[in-house]
Amino acid sequence: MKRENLAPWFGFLFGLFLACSLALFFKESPVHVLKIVTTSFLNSKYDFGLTLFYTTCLIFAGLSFAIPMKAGLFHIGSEGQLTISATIAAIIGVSFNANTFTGLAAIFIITILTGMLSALIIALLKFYRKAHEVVVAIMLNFVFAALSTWVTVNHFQNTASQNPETGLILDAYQIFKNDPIKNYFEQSPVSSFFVLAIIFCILLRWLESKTLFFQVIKSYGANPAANKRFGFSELKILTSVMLMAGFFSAFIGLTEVLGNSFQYKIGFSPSYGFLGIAVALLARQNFIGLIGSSFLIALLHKGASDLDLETQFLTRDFSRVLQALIIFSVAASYYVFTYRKRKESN
Amino acid sequence: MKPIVEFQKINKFYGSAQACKDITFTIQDQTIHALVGENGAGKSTLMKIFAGLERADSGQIFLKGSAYKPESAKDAFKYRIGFVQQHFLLADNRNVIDHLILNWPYKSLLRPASTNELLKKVELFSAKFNWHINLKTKIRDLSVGEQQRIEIIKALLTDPEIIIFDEPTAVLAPGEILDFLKFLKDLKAEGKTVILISHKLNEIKNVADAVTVLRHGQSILTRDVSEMSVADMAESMIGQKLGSLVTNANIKKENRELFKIGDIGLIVEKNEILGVAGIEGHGQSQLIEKVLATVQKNKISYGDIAEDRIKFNLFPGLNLVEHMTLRHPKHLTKHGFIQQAKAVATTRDLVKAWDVRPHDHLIAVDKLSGGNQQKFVVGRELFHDPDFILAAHPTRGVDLGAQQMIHSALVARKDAGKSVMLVSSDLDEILNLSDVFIILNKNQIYGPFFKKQLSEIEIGQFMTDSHPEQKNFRLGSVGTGTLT
Repeated sequence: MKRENLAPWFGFLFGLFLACSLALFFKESPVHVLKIVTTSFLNSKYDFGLTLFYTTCLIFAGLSFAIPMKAGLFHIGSEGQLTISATIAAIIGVSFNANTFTGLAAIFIITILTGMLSALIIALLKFYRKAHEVVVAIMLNFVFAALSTWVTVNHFQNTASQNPETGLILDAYQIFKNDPIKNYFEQSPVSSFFVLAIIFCILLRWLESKTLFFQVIKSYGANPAANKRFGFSELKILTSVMLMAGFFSAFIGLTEVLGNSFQYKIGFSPSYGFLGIAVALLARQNFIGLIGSSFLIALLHKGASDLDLETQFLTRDFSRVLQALIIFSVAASYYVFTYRKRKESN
Repeated sequence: MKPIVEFQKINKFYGSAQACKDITFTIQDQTIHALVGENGAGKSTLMKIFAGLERADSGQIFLKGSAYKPESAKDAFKYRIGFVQQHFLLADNRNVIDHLILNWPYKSLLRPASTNELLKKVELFSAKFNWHINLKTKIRDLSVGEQQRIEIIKALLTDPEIIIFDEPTAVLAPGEILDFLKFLKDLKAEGKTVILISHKLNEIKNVADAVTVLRHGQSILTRDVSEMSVADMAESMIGQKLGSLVTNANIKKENRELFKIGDIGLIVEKNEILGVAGIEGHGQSQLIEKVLATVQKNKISYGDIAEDRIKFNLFPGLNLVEHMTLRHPKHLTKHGFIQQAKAVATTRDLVKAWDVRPHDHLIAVDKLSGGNQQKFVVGRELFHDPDFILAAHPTRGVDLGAQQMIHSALVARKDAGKSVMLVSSDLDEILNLSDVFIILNKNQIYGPFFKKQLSEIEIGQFMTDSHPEQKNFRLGSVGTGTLT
């Protein structure tokens, strides 16, 4: 294994070490914290299923980040795209009365289109206005969050609840309730979308090694000027990677609305979009590696959420601190590990 | 006026090559005497003989009427001859005063020169010519113009009567050139004799009193500058009438056109290497852009050896096979899927054929040395036997063996009926390879010219806006991009 490929794992361990050390400040034993964080997914089938549900969402989020990254784009817009997609999925599920097949088809198609179109904005602004993808994505994340909240609270609010959420989608569309995977894991949030996520990863890995298309994307990431000179269309590359990114963001919305809560709850995502960055960086954008890194981040997320119950002073907010430290360390590790190389090449 | 220097039948051989052939002419006292001629005409050699740096094989030099036979540069000092050479003899990491002290005449090693006297003298020069020179500055921190002044002061310190300048304005910016020409006139007014070697005939016309034309080592004529036009000088230099140049309208050939760039009227023909000469940054990129756009529009198969291989030809981190599939998808992919075995075999053959080292088709391209990268690029771009090849600086950073390989590959394509456009800042490369060439200057295209239609000097004139017939040869413009 190449030295650089090990870098994110050192970053990961370092972040974990930092987070656990931090527990000392709160008069908690770091070892105890570490134990909860890393083993709580094994407590029950339900817990394991919950972890796999997080894994599913993180795989999609990781794909949504990794694909544009191959073309050199730092895509942090997944959070906004998954929010608006989930909202749309719930709205159709609540209001479009049809048979199961038609209804589900409509939900899938329209939700995916929503995700893709919302990501397309980033590509178009980048191509035509030279706007930086990070800035546009940050802005769009706010726009989509506000839009979803407004639509949900003002037009589709669940009258039976005081929480800001839509009503449940029609019974006909709740087929994943009897999903074999869900049943196996004692009705935990995981569903067949998990299998789908893994199939996507394998498929992408295969396509990446076999098709010119992915090679063109990679070459654009390596040297956009040469890519253009070779006669490839920058617009096509930017739009296709962003459409794919939006496609996978939309799947997070579908996983939540069709596979877990059967409604849209404001704030359902524990920042999947951003965790996806850590996932993709840990895997060095390797589509198969994504499965492993997603599971790892998922189990930590699950474990950190349990800190509330298992420790005296730490709350579930600590999971955010943990994630932040890991993302920070992983990102930093790459630069630390390549420092000498970059210095030499300069 | 009385003669100060007379050259009589000077001959000089380097091996079997004769640099000076019976050169005979006279230089008058207190004049500016210009020496003109193409590269290799014998100007510099003659002056080196005069300054004691080389020895003549036969012939005589008379200085103020008496025979002068310098054995070394020391003799030239003694006879008060100063020589400012084309390539400066300065040490980068020493300061100005160090250089001047070295040139300050001393009586013996035990009695070194007085530095105070030296400084006084330098101050005197600085005041006279209005030069501001900090003596503590290191040579590497000086501009080329300033470095030249140091060379001039070095020469003046020995209080010479005759000063030789070899291509002094070649390194100067236009503003500095005017100052320098004024300085030459000042020297003359002081009673010095100046011998000026230059390619810039306009400057000579402007400043010199007499001119001697050398061609192929022979002195062709010596005349008062007032009696000659710039065109006359150029004609006698290259030995043919400028009027014999064929104008664009007269070029008539069978139709071998591959494509035409309408708005600049440039025709690229089959069976031809079209050279593009010019100082870099004078519109080459714009021209290349136009040419590629036209080629792509007309769906002509093309090879693209780009002007900047790192920027336009290579993807760091990708291996050679990937580069091949990206460049030749038609050959190496089917329905969007890469034909891996074929791609690998093709790349392996190419690496072998072009001797790209190491012979490893899976190596990342950024791990190759510059020369090997270029060989790979050239091989890759010629792989599909394209009808048109853009070769921009194809041999930059490549060793001699590879250079020959690339050159002969380009010529072979031409002989096979293809078109090559050779963009280069190396004039020799252009003149050696191209059948027809154009000259770029400030985004304007001049030409096309046939091989040997222009001398190097004239090409230089076209590059610097100083050719008398410049306007008549303007072909078009490649837009108004910024000059770098």
